[in-house]
Formats: sequence, structure tokens, C-alpha cells
Amino acid sequence: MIDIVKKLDQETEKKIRQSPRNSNRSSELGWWEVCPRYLVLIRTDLDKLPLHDLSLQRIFDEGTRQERLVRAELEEAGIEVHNVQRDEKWAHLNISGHIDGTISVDGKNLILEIKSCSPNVFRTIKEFKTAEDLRGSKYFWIRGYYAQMQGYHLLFNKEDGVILFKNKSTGEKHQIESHIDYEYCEKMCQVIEEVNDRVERNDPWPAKECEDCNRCGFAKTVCFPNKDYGEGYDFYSDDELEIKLNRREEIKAIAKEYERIDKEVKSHFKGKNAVVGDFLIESKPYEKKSYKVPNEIKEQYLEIITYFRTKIEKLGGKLNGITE
Amino acid sequence: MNDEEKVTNGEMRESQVETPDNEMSIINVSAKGDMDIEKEIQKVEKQVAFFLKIKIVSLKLTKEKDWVFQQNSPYLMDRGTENVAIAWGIDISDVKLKQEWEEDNKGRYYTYVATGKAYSKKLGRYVEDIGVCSQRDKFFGWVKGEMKEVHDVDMANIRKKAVTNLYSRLIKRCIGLMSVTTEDLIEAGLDIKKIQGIKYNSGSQKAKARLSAKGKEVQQKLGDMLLMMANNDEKKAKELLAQYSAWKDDDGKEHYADSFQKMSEKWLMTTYGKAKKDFEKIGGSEEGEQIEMNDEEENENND
Repeated sequence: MIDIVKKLDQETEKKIRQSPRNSNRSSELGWWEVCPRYLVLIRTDLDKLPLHDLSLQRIFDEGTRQERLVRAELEEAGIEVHNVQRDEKWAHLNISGHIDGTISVDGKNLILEIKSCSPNVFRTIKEFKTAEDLRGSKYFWIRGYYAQMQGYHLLFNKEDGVILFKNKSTGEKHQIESHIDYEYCEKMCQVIEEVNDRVERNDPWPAKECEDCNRCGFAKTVCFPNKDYGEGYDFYSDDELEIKLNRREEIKAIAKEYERIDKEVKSHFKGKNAVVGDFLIESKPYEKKSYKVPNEIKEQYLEIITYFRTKIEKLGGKLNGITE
Repeated sequence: MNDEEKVTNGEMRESQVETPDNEMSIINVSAKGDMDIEKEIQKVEKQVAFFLKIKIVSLKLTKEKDWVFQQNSPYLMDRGTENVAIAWGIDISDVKLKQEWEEDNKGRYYTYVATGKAYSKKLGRYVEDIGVCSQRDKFFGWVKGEMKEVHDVDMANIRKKAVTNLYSRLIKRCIGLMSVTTEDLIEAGLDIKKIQGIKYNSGSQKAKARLSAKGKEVQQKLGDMLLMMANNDEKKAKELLAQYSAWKDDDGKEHYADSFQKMSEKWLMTTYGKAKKDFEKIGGSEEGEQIEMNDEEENENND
């Protein structure tokens, strides 16, 4: 019988390639804030960017298919999608991009960007309500969506847009509106101007380590940032501490059982007084003061406090006498 | 400067802590008099004991999934190496990459050589090393047993692999994990049955029971060979097994095996023959020696 999986993979594999970059693509603009050097290298040293693998190509292809499905769903729902895959280029700053489409809602013409996500990513995305939330994300690639949309606003001369996220597994959708952010665009364009200049001179910014180096294909082929793994662990040779840790390990299971049973029993007798065998159980109400403060007031008093989450894990075998 | 260590004041001195088997010879013992030698020996003994402790502690910081067995030797993969690097405060710096061209009877080809330094803030130990990867790399430079043309090889991946190999070697040398044995892993409390490679070979116990001694040996060798050809990627090794075990019956129907379980001894032998041919073409040999590599590089799978 024909090996269908192999045949399909062979077809997918054919699409693994890098197409030359002659412009600053909107989908990559997010790098301007993190590492503008990337935007230079992608145009001057593309041959040093390792090709992606089959699994990633499968994800890209799936994304394209999902985009078509979402457009069909929109049409079915009476939302017409125009300008599908329309390309645009802004010659002055050499920024290019192609949009998934435009839609008309309440007399407004919006740029439409469709993103299909895995269930895990979708869960993260669903926590974001506004484009500003995307911009503030700790994940670089999510912040990149904000930059991408700003690029589209500039390119297509439209002030509003919407990103429609789809959970690939459940079909659930989530939308985030996007509006042009002139201040952001101004700063971004200044950097892009310098990117173009540096491409012209073949003179990228010097390599500088950033937390997104591990996501960048150039890190190990061109930039070689120093890799500092931190200060290292403190190694103790303290018998007393070790005895405590061992004891903690021994009673961990019993403590967990205690917590489970305690919770179960207390919830059973909530608001009741009772005697069970040799045990007296009393459950009395008590009051706690609570303040319902509107979010905008809360925000004024926001401060970030650092706490430590301490995890204790038993290593394999027995650790004894580590240090001299 | 591979076997040297930089102390904090910037002076160089010979490494004090390396693997006991192949690095003892470089421990410096000055012969100023009997008393000095005795003291030095005690010092060296203490250092060796300390080194062994560092090694075992490092191994305890890894998990079974961080290891693979290749040719019956444990190999620590990148993920595990990074965890150990965090523990010992490793700082990698001054990484440089250069391309070198060579020529042999198969033609001209290039090799990328990455060089760099690593310093452990916890151990005060400093090393320099190299990482290499050639255009004829088993994974990137070959397709269906044929060597790819130079323009068909993704140069960026060769560059990246040379640097990845360098990072891995720097960390391992700095901590002293260059020659870890199965016994070391057991001593560190790791369950070697859970390590990939062993599982790969022992997953076919039923089939193995039906095989002759020779058949069992061939199965073991084939498993090791495919894993090496697939750069320790079990999934890819299975794909290679499917590729080399493929045959057509009289009706033109294709058969292949994705595990050793359903393979007869004869089928194993034929598959082994086909795989071995390609394995040798790319520079592999059953003794674990590889063309274009010295012994140390071979131990570290540095390609």
C-alpha cells in the first residue's frame, strides 16, 4: 500500500526554503525593539540563517490552511473578506507586507489578520484583551503581532484592524482590535531608517546578547553572543540541613494525605457541629473585611513586589559530602 | 591551550581536575624532594577525589531523558548539558567561527571550526576548546546514502552545528564530563533502563529471544548504527530502519519494519548490510572510529 504519510511529508519538505529578503517584512518588524541587528542580518546574511525543519514547515502549511478555513467561516457568517493576500510596499522605508484581508464592520474598513494557534498558545492569547496587552507580553513573538499590525496600518493606510485568533484544536476564536499607534510607529520607523542605512553599508549593529537570542537562527551562525549561565548553585555540606531535607522527604506523602483528608472532612462539616466517634467537630462562622475596589483605582496603587517560589526536588541517588 | 586552566590572576597553569583515566598524566608533580612529592601526591589524590565528587554531583543534576546511549556509551545531550552549566555558573565567551577547505579523493569540501572559552564561576576553572562540523556531516550532508553537492548543503546548519558542538564540549570539559561511563550514571542514581538507546535495543526482547547469538549481535549493531546515523534522534533512526529494511514481494507490495520486533534474522542481516554500506560511506565504522575525527571528537560525537 502507498505510504501516504511519507508522500505527504515529501511534498511538505519541498517547501522548506528561504526566500530572499529585499525589504523589511511587517511580520518581522517586532525585532526592532529587541534586536534591530536581526533586521539587517536577515537582508545581508540570509544564507547564514539555518533552514527550518519539517515539523515547522508542517505548522506553517497548517496555518495557511486554517487561514482559508477561517475566511470561509467569515463568509458563511455574512462577513465578506476583501483584499485577500494583498501585497503592499512602502518604498520610502522599504517596508513590505501582505494582509490576510480586509473586512467592513459598522462602516469601518478593518485590516484582518488571522492567526491559528495550538490550544496552549490560545489559552495564553485569550488572557489578552487589547493590542496593548499584546505589546506588553513577556513573549517576544506575541509582542511581534503588535509590530506586525502597526506595519500594516502604515502600509495600507488604515487606522483600524482586528486580529482573529483560532484554536486549531477546538475551533474557538478570540479577537483583539488593533489601532494605529503613532508614537510607536514613529520610533519604529526611525530604527527602520537606520536598518536600511546599515543594510546599504553592510554594517550591522554589533552583536549584543538578549533574552531572545535563543529563538534567533543567527545566534549560533553569525553573532555568537557570550553565554552566561549565571552565578551557579551554592553547594552545601551541612549535615543538619540534609537531615531536615531527608525528613521532609519522608513525611511529604503523609503531609499530602493529611491535607487532602483535612480538606475533605472540613468541607463535609462546613456550618455544622457534630460528634463522630471520639471526635467533636465545630464549624462556626466568622467575618472578614473585604473591599471591592474598582480596577482603575487599584491600578493607581499597583506595585510589583518580588517573592520567591522555592522548589525542592530530590536528586537521584544520595548526595553526601559534596564539598571538602 | 586545551588542557590548561587559567587562574583568577590571569596566569596559566596545567589543569588540576580532569577525567582520571586520560587526564591524570597532565597533573603536574614537581620533584623538589621526597617530602614535596609526598605532599604533591596527597594533594593530587585529594583533587582527584574532589573531581569525582563534582562529576557525580553533575550527573545527579541530569535526568535519564537527558542521555542517550550510542555504541553502549552514555552521551549527554544539549538540554542536560545546559542544566549542568547553570549549576556550575558557566560563562562561555570569545566564540569565533572559521571555514576551512580540504580536499580528498571525493573532492573539495569545507569544515567549520568554532573556537571559544568557558569559565566556571563555582569551580574557578577555565577551558578553551573547538567544535567542528563538516559539509559531509551525517545528518546535513547526505541524502539517501549519497553525498550532497556543496550547493545543496545548508551551510547555515553546518555553522550552527559547529558552534553547538563547541558549547557542549566547553561545558563538559569545564566540569569534567568528557568520559562518563554507565557505572557513573548508576552511581549518580540514574535508572539506565530509562535511557534512550538501551530502550531502543531492548524493546524487542521477544524477537531477540528467537534470534541466534549472531542475530542478536547484528541487531545490537544495527540499532547503534542507525542511532548514530540519525544523530541520536530515535524517530529518525526508526525512519532509517524503515528505509533500509524496505523490500518488495512478488506482487510488488512493499514491506518495511519500523521496529526490530517483527524482523526475522535473515531480514535483520540484509538490513544491516544495506545500512552498513551507507554508514561506511559517511565515515562510520563499527569500532567507533570516524574519518576526519580524532578520538576525542569521536567520544563527544562532535560532527
